[in-house]
Amino acid sequence: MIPVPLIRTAALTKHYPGVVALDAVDLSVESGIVGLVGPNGAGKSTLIKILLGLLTPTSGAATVLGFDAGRESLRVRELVGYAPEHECLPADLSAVDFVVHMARMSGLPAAVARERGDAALRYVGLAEERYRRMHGYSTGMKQRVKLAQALVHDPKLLLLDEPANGLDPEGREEMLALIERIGHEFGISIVMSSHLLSEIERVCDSLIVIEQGKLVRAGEIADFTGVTHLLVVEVDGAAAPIARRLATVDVKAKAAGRLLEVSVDPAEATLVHDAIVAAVAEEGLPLVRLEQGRHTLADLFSPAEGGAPAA
Amino acid sequence: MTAGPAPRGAIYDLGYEGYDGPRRGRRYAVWSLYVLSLRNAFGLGRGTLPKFLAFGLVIVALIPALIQVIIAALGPEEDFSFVRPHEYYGFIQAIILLFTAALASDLVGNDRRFGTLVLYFSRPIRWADYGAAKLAALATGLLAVTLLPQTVMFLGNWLGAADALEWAGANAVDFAPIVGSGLMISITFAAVGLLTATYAERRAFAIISVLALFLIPFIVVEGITEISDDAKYAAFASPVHVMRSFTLVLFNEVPTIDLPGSVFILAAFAYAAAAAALLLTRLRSSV
Repeated sequence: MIPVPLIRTAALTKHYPGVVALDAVDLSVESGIVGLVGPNGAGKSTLIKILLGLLTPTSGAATVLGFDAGRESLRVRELVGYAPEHECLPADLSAVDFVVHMARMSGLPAAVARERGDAALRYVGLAEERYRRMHGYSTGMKQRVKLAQALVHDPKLLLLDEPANGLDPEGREEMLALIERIGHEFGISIVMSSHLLSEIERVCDSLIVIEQGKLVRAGEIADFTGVTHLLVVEVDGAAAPIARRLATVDVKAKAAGRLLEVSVDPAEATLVHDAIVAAVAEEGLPLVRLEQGRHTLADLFSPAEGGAPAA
Repeated sequence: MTAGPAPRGAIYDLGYEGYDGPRRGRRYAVWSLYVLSLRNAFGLGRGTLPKFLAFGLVIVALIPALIQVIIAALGPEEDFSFVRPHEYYGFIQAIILLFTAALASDLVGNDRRFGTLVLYFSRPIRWADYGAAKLAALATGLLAVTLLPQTVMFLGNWLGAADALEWAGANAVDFAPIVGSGLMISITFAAVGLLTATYAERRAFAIISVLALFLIPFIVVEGITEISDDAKYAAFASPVHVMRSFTLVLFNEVPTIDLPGSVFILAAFAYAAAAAALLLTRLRSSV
């Protein structure tokens, strides 16, 4: 594989009157699924809009797929698909008409646009309802159409702004599975923003953290999660005896009621899993769930971890 | 973390196909936007109501032409005119205004209301391209209530004339002014209407704003030019007056406002150009 730098920024800065939205951000993003994390107002959407050439940076430069985001924005936009965070679908058109139209806006000939529009909606899981006008669509269906219109022209890179926002847990899980499939099976690189680290952790290969317009950290997901890999175990009964059993095999666990938090070194994940299952079985308690702990931004920036500066 | 998830059910179980074929670029994209906007303006691909509204107004705009054609065909021997070309827009002024207001609010209002603008500008087009496509779409749509009835009337009168050759000789001179005034009114009303519609968030407000922008100056100018002849320059504040005088000048008639004809030709072009330029600037600041 040729390592194509998807995105490169140099001292990228964007000022609004009274606000610094981006402050000298230096980034280099390689292919894969990249998470862009930060609290609301951190500068995620500003960064995405500069990459699309929708906003002009105050200073600094950005290139996308080797093209200058400002001067060559039309070349960039041919190769990039974008799904914004907010509502953006015309309620009085059908999904298929709209997505086909967007394909033509990206320069696809009419017949190809129709074919790919239909296919894109099938990829995202919209069946017969794609012929209906969109005003009756659920949030989940709208998010899928947004994804389909971003995908329809076969982009090399997808920029997804909060793609799972507003979805119920099941819808969120399906959306994340879809994104993972697009990134890892279809081979289209993705930059997705989220204010939830759990989403990023679930699908992304690498991560960019920005806060108040500044790049806080950037790197592989493993670099972030390796430090505080937590497993959450829930049993139908008191968890304390299990914690004591685990302590005897050198697994650190913290019990709280029916819950157990276990720190896991990724290198020993399998061993720890086995130890937990064994301990639960020995206690004779039904195991309700065993899952990866949900990290949030709060965890990431907790004092214990410190905010290590970006590379 | 490299293995993909197992396919989840049949609906996802489709291989992805890339696309290496041609990408037609910006002009094709703008053309596509123009065609879709024009179709949507007439309600095609949308609900029944927009269709009913647009086609209904076109039919109403045709009524004076049809009456005139019937009179020309069946009427008395002498050249009786129910409506003459330079008076036509005055007959259907309300229809042209309603058509402009309703379609302008749809054409730019919907994309703003639904937040779709940002999707257009993430495609390979420039700011001005979007405005130009919308302007062209509305202007083309407006031709259906300006140039179309005039052309129907012209051809109907011709066919109904006792001596077609003689009629053509006497009236051919009207054809260029018909086309010229139809185009100018369509372009100017489209630009002024779209510009106004971008300022109103809700559809009803957009329609009312567009109507108000045409009607209030019209009524004011009508009123003050009645009172004082010195107020004639106020006519330039009223797009309807400028277009009316422009039309009269084209048809070689005397404008109702006492100023040289060339002034209205210039004013009409200035109106169209200024409204179009403001529209494009306005759209640029909206994403």
